[in-house]
Amino acid sequence: MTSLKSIIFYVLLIFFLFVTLTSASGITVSAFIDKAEATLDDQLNLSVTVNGAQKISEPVFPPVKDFQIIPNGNSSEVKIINGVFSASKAFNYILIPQREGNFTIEQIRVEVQGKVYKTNPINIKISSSVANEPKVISESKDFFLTAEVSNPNPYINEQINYIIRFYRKVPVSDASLERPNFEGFLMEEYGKEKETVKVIDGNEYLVYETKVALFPTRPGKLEIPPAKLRFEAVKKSKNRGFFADPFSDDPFFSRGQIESKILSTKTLEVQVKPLPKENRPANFANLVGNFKFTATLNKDKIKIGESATLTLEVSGHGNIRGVPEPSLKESPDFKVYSDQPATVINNEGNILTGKKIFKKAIIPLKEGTFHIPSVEISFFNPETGKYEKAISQKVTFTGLITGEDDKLHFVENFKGLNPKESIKVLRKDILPINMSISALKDQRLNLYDPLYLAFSMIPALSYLSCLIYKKRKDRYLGDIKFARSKKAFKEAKKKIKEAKIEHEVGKEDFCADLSRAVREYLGNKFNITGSALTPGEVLEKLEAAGIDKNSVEETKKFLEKLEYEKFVSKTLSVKKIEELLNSGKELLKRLEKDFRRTTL
Amino acid sequence: MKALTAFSIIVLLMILIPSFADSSEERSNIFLEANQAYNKGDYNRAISLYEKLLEQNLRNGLIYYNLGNCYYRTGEIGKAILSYRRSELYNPRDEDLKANLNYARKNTRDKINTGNPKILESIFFWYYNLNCKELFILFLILNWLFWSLAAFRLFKPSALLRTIVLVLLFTAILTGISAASKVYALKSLRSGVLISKEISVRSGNGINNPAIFKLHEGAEFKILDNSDGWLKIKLPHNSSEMKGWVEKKFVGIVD
Repeated sequence: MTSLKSIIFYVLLIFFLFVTLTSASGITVSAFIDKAEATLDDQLNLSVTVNGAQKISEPVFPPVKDFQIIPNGNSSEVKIINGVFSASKAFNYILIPQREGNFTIEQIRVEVQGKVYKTNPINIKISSSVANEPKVISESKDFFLTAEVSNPNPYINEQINYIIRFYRKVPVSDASLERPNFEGFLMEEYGKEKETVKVIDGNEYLVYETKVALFPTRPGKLEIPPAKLRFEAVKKSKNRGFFADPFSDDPFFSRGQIESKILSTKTLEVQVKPLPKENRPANFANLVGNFKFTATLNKDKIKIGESATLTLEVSGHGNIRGVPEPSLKESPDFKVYSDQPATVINNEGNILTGKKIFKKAIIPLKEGTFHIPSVEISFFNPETGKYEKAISQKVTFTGLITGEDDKLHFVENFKGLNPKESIKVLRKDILPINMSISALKDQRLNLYDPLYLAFSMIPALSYLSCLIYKKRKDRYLGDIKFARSKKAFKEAKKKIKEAKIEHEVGKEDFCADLSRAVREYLGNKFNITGSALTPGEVLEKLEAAGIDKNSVEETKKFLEKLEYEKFVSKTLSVKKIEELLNSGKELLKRLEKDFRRTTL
Repeated sequence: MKALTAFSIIVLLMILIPSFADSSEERSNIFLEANQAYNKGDYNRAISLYEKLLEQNLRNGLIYYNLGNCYYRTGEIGKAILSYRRSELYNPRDEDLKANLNYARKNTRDKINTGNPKILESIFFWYYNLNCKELFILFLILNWLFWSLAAFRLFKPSALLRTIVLVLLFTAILTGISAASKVYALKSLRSGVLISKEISVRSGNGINNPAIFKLHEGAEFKILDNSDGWLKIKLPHNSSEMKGWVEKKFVGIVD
């Protein structure tokens, strides 16, 4: 058995050593690029291949500023050739050059089974774009993507347009445009995209144009990263001979020749000018554009306690959403309640126009003629390069005292109908934060908390203990044989102890007591009267119970010895008594063990 | 020997207690500072302070709730909804949280039917109204009561006690299953919230797969699979479901 275990152990050990050695030694990591020279218009395919392993973490690139790296899927391969197992995984990337020059992509790191492998550095030469302007696009270009801003030198918060144009000569499908992250700008969408036809050097292009309005939020140089367009196009066949497939240009008939393409625009720079500090009005709130301000009241005679709506409308072009709430001065003559402002943006054309409407409820408190003063907002007009003001006209209204008729109506109303008004919601907002310090209590559930473990286990274990106790108790009460058998050893030990004490106080029948203790022990075990048992009967009963022969023989000898001592030696020495006591105890222990074994 | 053990325990307590006190005091200070920053309108500072508490391995629904408010104020609806959803895991009965989550959802662009059917919430009220920890503690209490009464019944059997024990057994099993399924749902059936302005959901886990539909910030969905930095997602659409793959970096996972 031991030899079998050791064989299995060594086989496993050799197997694991073999596997570890082969897997560690067979790993190679390499990086390939499909072309070492390219132009700014090209895209390169980079592949990082790991041979000899499959569970690999994503390759980690060194900082690369000169290329945009876009993941392009993974592929795995497992081969068994002539019994040799080989696995490989390739991570594919598309590189889009950002500037011209000679570049080196430093070592790419790949972690395999806790060990870091590095690829060789890759040298790439990027030359200037063949076609910087759409005018000189070579005939071979079937599609290209451009991006431009309407004004590369705007003021802060001045609107500029970011326009992306996709030129194509051949049909494409599944096109999806990823706009860049306009960090440093606020963005506003325009309406529909435009599709036009444009002829460049005799080539007719279908041009898809989309644009967004941007509002720079900080002065200085801002960069707009490249936009990316992914689409699928039919691969152009190089052999257009007589026997060329007439359907090869049709995407429907040439499914196999469709390839995925990613086009990218250049990074654009916008130099944002700060607003001039001279003549800046005190109430200027970063509004840039050209705006008008009007104020109208829906009725000029208002009864005390009733309300009229004052509409303040700021319209024009610029960052209309940034128009702040115009504040009306508090008046002792009338109350003003503000409503939530509404913004309407007209996103057609080349410049965003819109209006922001502030509605206020005016409630006169007194009788008389009152004026709502004109309100002004300041803005910077980039066309004139000056700060300007838009001022609303003054509005006049008359507060009327409520007539007697109205009072009567009011009383009637009060009696007959429900005079309550529904609550007017002025503005909706989120509820405030909760500042209760109970937030600092961890609310997670930790299943390995010892307290939880104890609470889940202890009740069941306690029940089990109670159940065992109850069953045992019931058996003691209902089964006399069992009860006697279980109590036998304990009682015998007690009797031996008593025999010793009695001898010490001068009683002479120590051997008889010891003999009785052993026989009563056996009587309890066999559920009979033990004191009447003779050594012969003891022998018979023990053998019938299947007790070990040596134990049986020893019991017989011990009982006979006690009989002998009882009649022969009238007085026993202390040493003899100790010897008999120890023998008796040992015998009982041995018998108890044997009885347990036989009952099992 | 006993004296040595007692001495070791005292020394250990002397070392540990001040460190707990320190960390708790530091957390209180950060929390109070974050609340003040929020009330002053410095939401970005409040965000960094609440995030700092979370970095200290503290998880509490109120912190996520407050963080959600901060993100809402800074206009990051996706992160606001994500924080509210995380808060919901710990404080499912918080009415303020429900109100803010519903309000934030109204500001999202995609119309997605979120939330559980009302009927399910009424039937399995304990499941939807208790968090994981509360459910588990309820299970422990019922478990303790059941075994204690069952043990008592061994010595004093009665028909009433038998009924009580059976009812306790049933409720303990029910809460045990509920707690286990809640833990399982938390670990395996995760939800996600879009934290990017707009993304294309693709038919496969790669950039080359065609885009099948678009989602906007704050959109909520179930996560079915996770592979190579992409997540397979599922969301209800009219009466059916829509499935697709999105890049993991644009998604906040409700965990």
